[in-house]
Amino acid sequence: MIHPAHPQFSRRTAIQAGTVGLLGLGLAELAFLREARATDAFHREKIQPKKAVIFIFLSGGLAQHESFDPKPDAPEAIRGEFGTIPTRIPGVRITEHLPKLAARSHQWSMIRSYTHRTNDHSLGHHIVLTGRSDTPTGFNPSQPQPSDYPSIAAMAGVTTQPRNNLPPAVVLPEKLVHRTGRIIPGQFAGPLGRINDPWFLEASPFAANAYGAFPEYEFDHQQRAYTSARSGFVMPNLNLPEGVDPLRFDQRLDILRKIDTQRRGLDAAAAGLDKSRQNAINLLTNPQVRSAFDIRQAPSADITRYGNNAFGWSLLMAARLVEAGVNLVQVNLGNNETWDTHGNAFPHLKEKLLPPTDHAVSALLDDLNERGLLEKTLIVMAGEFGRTPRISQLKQFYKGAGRDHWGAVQSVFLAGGGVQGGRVIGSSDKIGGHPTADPQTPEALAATIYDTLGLPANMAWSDAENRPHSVYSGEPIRGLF
Amino acid sequence: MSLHRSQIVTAVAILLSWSVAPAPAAAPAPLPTPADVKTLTVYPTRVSLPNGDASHQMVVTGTLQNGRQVDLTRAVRYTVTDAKLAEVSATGRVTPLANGSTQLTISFGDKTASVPVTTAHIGENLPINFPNQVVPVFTKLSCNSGGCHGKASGQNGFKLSLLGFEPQFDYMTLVKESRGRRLFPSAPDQSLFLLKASGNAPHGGGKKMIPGSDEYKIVRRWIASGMPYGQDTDPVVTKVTVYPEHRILDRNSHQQFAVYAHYSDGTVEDITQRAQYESNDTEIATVNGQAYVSTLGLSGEAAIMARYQVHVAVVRITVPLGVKTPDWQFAENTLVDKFTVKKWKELGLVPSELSSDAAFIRRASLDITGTLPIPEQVAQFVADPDAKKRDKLVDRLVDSPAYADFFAGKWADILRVKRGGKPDRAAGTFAFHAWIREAIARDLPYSEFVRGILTATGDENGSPATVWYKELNNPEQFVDDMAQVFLGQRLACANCHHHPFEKWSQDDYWGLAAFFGRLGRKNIPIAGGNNARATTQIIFTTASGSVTNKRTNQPAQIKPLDDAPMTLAAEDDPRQALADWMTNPANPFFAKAVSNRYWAHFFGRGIVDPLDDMRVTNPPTNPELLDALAQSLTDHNFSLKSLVKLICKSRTYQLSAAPNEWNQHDKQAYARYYPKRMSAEVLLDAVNQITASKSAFNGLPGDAFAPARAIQLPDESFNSYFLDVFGRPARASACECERVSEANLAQALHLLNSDEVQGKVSAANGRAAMLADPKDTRTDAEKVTELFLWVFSRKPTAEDLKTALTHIEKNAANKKTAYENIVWALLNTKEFVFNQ
Repeated sequence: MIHPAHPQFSRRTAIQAGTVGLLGLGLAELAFLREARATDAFHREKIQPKKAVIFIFLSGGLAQHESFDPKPDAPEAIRGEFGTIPTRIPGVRITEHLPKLAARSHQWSMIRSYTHRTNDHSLGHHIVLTGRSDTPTGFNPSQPQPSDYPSIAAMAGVTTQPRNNLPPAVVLPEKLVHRTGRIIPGQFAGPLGRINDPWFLEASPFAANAYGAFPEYEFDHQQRAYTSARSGFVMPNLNLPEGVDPLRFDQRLDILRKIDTQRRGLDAAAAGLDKSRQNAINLLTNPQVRSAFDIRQAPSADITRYGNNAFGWSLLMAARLVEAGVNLVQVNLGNNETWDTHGNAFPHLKEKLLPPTDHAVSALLDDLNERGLLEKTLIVMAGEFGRTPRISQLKQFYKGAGRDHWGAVQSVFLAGGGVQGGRVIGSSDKIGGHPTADPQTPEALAATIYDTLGLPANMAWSDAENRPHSVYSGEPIRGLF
Repeated sequence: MSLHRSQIVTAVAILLSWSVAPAPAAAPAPLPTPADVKTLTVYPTRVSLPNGDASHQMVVTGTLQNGRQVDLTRAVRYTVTDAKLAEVSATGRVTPLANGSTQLTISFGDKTASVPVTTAHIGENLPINFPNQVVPVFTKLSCNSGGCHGKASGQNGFKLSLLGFEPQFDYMTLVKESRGRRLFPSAPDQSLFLLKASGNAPHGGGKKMIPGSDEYKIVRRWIASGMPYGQDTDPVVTKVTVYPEHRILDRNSHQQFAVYAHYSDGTVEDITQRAQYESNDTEIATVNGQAYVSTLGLSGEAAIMARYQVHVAVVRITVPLGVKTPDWQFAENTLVDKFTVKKWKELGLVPSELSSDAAFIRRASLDITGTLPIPEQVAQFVADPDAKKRDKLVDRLVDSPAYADFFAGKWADILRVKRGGKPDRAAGTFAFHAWIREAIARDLPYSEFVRGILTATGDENGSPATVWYKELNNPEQFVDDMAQVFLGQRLACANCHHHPFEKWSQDDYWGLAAFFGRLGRKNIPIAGGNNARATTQIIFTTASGSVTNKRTNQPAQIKPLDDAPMTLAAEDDPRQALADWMTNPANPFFAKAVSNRYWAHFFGRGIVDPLDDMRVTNPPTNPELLDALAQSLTDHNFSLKSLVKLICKSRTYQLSAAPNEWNQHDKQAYARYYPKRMSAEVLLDAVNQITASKSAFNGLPGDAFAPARAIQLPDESFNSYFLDVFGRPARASACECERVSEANLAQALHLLNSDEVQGKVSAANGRAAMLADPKDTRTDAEKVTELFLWVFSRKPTAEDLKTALTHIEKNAANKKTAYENIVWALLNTKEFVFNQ
């Protein structure tokens, strides 16, 4: 008989509990309790991140049917043209055009029930990139506002301590800008102030007419003729200007150092400038740091492994930056609305979009794993929404069929950073239209990212009025770790 | 670590605090011996404990032979004559044990004092009032803080009103919500609320209450007595006071204070155990939950806030450096100096030396006109033997066009002269900017300037200030901007709930909003407009109209802050009434707000800081100085030029930035000049002036007479990566804090490494090219000297000169490249980027 006052533990549980206590959870809990007892219940100091994050964003919105949540048993108008293949998870199939990921399904998990309320590109970007389902006051779909919520990347930037003199949060290879030149809201620091925008590493030239993983996989949704404007990545911020070679730069630095001797009175006031200038010089002159940023110097084996195209380069850079010490890298896999497959969806996904993605993301998993970084790096992949269950035909724009915007459900890919592989969180209904089990919110996904970074539950950020706002707007997703 | 926004949002602030060397270590201040103490003062002078929950915190002060006051609360011995009636803790807290009257004797060596103690109603189960007795427990324990159950979404399904500002809401939540499962009167200790708070059931917030503690007991008794809310006739708190209000403390010493709630029935209650405390500068002083202040290693001023219900009160703590200083003399130039000197004496600081003439002309030119002086001006000024030359320079600068340009830009930022991506607004923003510039240039009295904006009526052609109302589309925006810009009050909190750090309630907020209630707008077609949709907006006053108070859902009554409600006739313009109230010389906010704003402009830190957050809990570091500035402004009929002169002609403003041993940690007493980074526009103009290049702004005429400087830009719409990266505000808010002054990586990269800067440095007819031109027959030493004057307003040191000349010599074959390298290096120095 079990005495009620003495709950019985199995030996296994006891060992687990003991280990947890020894390995840090106990300490973290203690710290948490101490914080909770402080007069100010907010945590406001920057923290040393526990892990890094690579947030792959698929602007335009990946169709769940043509990726991680196919509906092979649905009628053709829902099922689409693609077949499915098994993964290593018993009974779980994904689209036939992600074979490399299917073979690695023991390393990743997915959420099939991520849901929010909008079918609008701009608001969708704002919701997914900030992890907030509500619309901030004054939201303007055509123009970022200072009152927009801070992006997850910006939040990671202000809450974590920089490592190795590198910016804590980087967005690459470009800002998300609509082909008309509109800047998409949700990518910035909002009320945290522009100084806290993530560091945008704008390596990819702007293209108004072409999408995707240039050069080899570049395409136009409507298949119109265009002249390719992009051939490779450039490093505008980090190249020495025209006419200044490294030798001359060294000469200049030499004069600067001699003249800029510490002037009394400036020491304290200019410490910030000193530090950021030193970091900048580090970026410009330190070969190791430069190589993390400058993909053109990467070994050809790496380029081949990740794919010699914009998707491959982006993820290779992300891997190197995380290794070099960046805490969160947001990778915009494709320029704005690259995944917006209203028409010609099947040929484009099959030939242009899924292959370089399958290749590059698989390479990222393998590469991080080999370098021992996968356990320390959370990879998240999501778009601003999923796509409609029913296939549609917009004859005036596209020859082929496609799917339209669908915020109600999309599939989110997660790997690394302690995520157990081979799990499926939630499900969608038989047409892939709405979550049927365990719906997951943008808040929960953001919380999962913050939790992985190690941000305390009571962490706060402050706006210009010094009003505190909770970093977390939801609880981390259960069942992943 | 302090709790300021800057610490989480900027790496820079953190770096700054790293760079500050620790203050000279001081041992804890030794307690005086009884022989040192001349008199012993005890507060309160009688202790009345009318019920079992009551307690009194004693505050015992020793006055030393030298007149200084020292806290002895924890050093004295307490003896209760009849020990059965009351007891006293070592910290000086008196609690009752039984009914009766007795005597409390306080002794410190041979010094003694005594106070009568009466106790009553002990052991009686007196009725409980929920707002007065229970809600403060939640605040004290941070249950209802913004980080926990007080935030808008609550925490784990349990939501309390923020800081207990809405007791009725809290009552409903606790007693009625979730089918009453939170409280259990028949077994109070088994109430979910107490189980969680005491850590006996899992609670994310940890253990907040210990069973048997005062907090636990009061909540338990309230539950056991059936959760009464209290009677309508129960007294309410009308104000909170502290004792003492101000103390001068040594570094590393302590001070006990006590807090009192004053009720509507005239009773006063000691709430020291129940109020909540917070220091505004935790580098100078900290406070614990028992109102016990500890000063640290830094000298300066701190304000300790005590919060109880919606009321706040402040204890001011002054911490002198407390080390022996040499004798110093300080000639008073303007009345500013009188009050800064007084403060330095109080804090035991020694002011820095007077700045050099070269440093002064650079500083004053940058601060007053946003413009670097040119080499001839520097040379002339330095050579001028006139004893009054600094005053004359200030006079000259204030009357220069660049003064109007620079300050027009400053006002245009916070008045949000903004196109917001709408090209058809350009005419209005240009007109409003020109109107502001004109007012600054001819020194329109500030009162008239503000009246002109507040009461603007008509369209943007006839009345350019109406453009202000384009960004203010609802009463909330009007209150937030108007109060922040003109009154130095950040009221936005009170839109939705009682201000957590001020007395302002939602009714105060909506009372101000009501001034906006009869503002009319109408869009009329422009005659001859170039498209059918071209309209212009007319601002006028309607005969009726109101603003709804969000709290009461009733029309808000017009009421200025801290003043009586107003009743206005249909023909009166409420905005005129607002302007009358504001510009009255007796207005407690108006002149102080602008004086503090201007002071902050010149000294880099407001006497109240942040400069537009003037509240009881954020007191001025030098109240007399702020009062004097405001008084002088009203005495001079609100002349802003006179204010600038008063500040810049003071000797305080002319101090060197180089600290001495005694003021190196000073951050708020202005005992030296605090260097500040040039703002984005000033920096770009300076780079252009030094490199003899121009920045082209799309949308402005390109002729020789057109505005070509960044400080002249009328609105925010002129694209410039340089200006953005160095922190030009988007004019999205009325807060000067929108302008970024911190350093970051992108700025450093831009100066070090951009095509823009490289283009200016290497321009074919730029400075480097001119200096390298063989037709200029001066020696390289002369040329380098001129370059240093352009950049630093000083001559190069021998070392500087050697570095530059060696470099030129090494690159004699390509002198232009050599000069480019030197110009580039100088532009990247801290000495250039900072005004010091």
